[in-house]
Amino acid sequence: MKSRLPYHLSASLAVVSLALGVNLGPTRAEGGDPYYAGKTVKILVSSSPGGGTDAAARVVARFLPKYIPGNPQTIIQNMPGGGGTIANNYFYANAKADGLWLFQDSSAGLGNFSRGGSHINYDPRENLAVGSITRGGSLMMISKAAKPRLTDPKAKKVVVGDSDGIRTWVSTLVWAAEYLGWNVRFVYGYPGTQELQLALRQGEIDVWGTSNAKLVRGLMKEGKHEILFQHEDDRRPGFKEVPTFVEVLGDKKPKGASWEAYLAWSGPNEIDKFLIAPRGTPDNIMATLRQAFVQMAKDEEFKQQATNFFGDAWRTRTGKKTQLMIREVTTISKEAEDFLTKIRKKYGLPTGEQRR
Amino acid sequence: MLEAAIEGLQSILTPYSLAMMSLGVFIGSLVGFLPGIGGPTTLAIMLPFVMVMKDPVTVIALLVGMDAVGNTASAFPSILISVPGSAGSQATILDGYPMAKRGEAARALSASFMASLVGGIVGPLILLASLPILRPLVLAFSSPEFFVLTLWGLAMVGVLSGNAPVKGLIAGILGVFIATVGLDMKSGIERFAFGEPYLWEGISLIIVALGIFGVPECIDLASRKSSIAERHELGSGFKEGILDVFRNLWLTIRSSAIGIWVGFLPGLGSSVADWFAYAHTIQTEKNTENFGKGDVRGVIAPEASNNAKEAGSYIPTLAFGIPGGTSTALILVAFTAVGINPGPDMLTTQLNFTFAIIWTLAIANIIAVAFCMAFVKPIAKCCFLPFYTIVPLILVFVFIGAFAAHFNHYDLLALLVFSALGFMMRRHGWPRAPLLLGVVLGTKMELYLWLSYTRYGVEWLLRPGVVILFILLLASVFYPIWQGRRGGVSRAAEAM
Repeated sequence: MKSRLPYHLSASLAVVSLALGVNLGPTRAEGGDPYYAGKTVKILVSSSPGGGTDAAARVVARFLPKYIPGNPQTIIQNMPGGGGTIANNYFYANAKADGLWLFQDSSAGLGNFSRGGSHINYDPRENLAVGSITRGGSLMMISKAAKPRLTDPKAKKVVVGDSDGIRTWVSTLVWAAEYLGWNVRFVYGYPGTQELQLALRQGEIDVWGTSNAKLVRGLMKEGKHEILFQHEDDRRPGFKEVPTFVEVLGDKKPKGASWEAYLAWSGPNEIDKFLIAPRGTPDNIMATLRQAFVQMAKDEEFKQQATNFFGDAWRTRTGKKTQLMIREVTTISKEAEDFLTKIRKKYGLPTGEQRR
Repeated sequence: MLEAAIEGLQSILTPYSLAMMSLGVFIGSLVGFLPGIGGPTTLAIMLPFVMVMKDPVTVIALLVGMDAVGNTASAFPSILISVPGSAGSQATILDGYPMAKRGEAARALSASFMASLVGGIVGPLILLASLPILRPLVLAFSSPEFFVLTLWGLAMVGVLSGNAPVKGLIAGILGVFIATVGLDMKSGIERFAFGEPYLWEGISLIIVALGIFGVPECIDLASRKSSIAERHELGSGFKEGILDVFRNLWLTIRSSAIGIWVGFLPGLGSSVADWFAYAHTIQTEKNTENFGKGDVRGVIAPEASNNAKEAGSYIPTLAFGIPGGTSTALILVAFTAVGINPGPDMLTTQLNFTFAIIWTLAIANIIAVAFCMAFVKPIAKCCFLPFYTIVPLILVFVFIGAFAAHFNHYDLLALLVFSALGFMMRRHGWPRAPLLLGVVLGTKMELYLWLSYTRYGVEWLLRPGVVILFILLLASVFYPIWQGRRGGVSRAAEAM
């Protein structure tokens, strides 16, 4: 039994959100009502309720209609599982290109695509991005008790926990194990952020990464964990004392196919939470949606609520920029893809057979 | 702490907060009354409205009030027409519906609501008492312990199988098998979905429950050409039901404690508490020969537990900001939006909000029970309607319930399939409850076995918590046998 049950951490819920507030955009198109007047936009979410992707979807569902001429209603449907694969496959196969289907996905869906496999029946490069919300690079938290074991090969391995073994930040620990000799192993299968938080506190896992600054600060307050490094090119505001992963790698940073494979896996982290429309959505509708996303990002109330959910380091990206980044991070050479498969196998992470 | 408790109470007792709480209770009760539309769905519908509210206490009054009572009014359809009003009131059918058939609908309903009230009050009290130990309590259960708990749950198949243990076992296995249908949550790999997108999400528990219980009872009614109740009088059942709870107060409190326990374990799920309480009742009570045939204790136990569970699910939310279930996950979203910080702050700087939640849980239950009690007599009369009136009504209810869950026409097809399965099982004496239990627990068993093994290897079997739970599990299975009460239990459950 999966996502359709009310509690099974995999609920499929419908949210009818009435468009609230005033319409700041043009209310009437030439020659009649705007396209979205009286319509309902369905936003599919690739995670269960309560996590970061879900929160992003709910904030967008509340504010985006305000800036779409016609102020449509929005429906949210959660479809968690397989690191976004279930929702991605569903959206790719079923979404109509009429502007009334949108998809709130996260970087894991892009990572899954790069990983490949027979069950990956979607191509994120074909979808059309409306915009993205990025919370900054993931912050890797480690239990203070487990930290000494990280560099002691004779000690019990430090356990890294994840939902599906494909989250972009997992790449950093795989490369750390490979090039810095870190003593880690990976356990995946946790349904979501809530369960991972609990597992970290229980000591069932020792390391876990998240971009959610608010969540990290909450854990830090408890005093039993510390931040190992951050998964971003530059140090995040508010976490200036925490080194980036590249800084931790130092001169052990690999080159060639290995680094290309790393970037293919970890790169989507920069995109984080993105909203897309299906391939074939008409240009004029895409223009409307992208414009609305840009306007939404300037809304003071939106900013306040996003800060409530994601802490203070979040930012938005336009649809076009997001689109370019999706293409960039999902383009990988055969050699790098082979490397990726090999290294994932080596560390006991799931691998799909390759797409090409 | 006393100051925060008083402040929390004062904030909840303002006319505006009370009005919002009453609105929440009304919506929650209505949703519980209608099968298919679960509490989480309604909370999700409410979210966009509450996210614009400025006063956190208003949000607490409305949403917590709504969430607290979702399993109260759901006893109406469970008892009257054998259709679970919510995922948390499935076990209520096992004895509630036979009571309605025997002409004791009013007694079953009033017992159910009084038990809900006790559960709804005991729950917040235990939550209050556990505030100082919330955190170690939640941290005591890891994946291996969760796995043994799911095994324990599945061991109840024996209790629910009556005198057909093999059939019960097969039905339970079939339920677990049904739970595997869809895309694997870890990898996204398809299992028994045959490339059909509808099956990717798995098969909905509510569809299975509506199909195997609701429709077969309609067919039975139509074939008997009678009303649900054999006797056309309400009698003194209403008062009897209330007294039943006080006669079985210790059972009611035990069941409430079970509800709290299931609720605070994030990962067991809202649909498990009633089954645990029901099985516990059969395993520990005397004179069990009437269970499954209309024993009021079979109504009291699940109804007390499913209301107490709501308070339990706030324990991890308050301790860590980790929701105990889908409902609390959505409430947490609303809390965050209005500036409440679920987690450690709730036990320090925002303790007044914590008390507002606790007070709301208790007061909302009182309002909901008063509301439901007022409707017991008129609604219970539906049991006297002739079959040609009630059967179409139930069928409309069932089909709307199935469709309203996801607005997918394939759900109606699935409902027909499970209705046919339920009918065949009923006709050939196969117990249906174990199938439902298998569906409820299947995914969790798989998940926690996977996590236990990949994290701990075989060492998980030696964890103290696991050993203790295994001992308790074995004791709960063998104790009734040892007492020579197995025969009574067997006869008890054969009806379902």
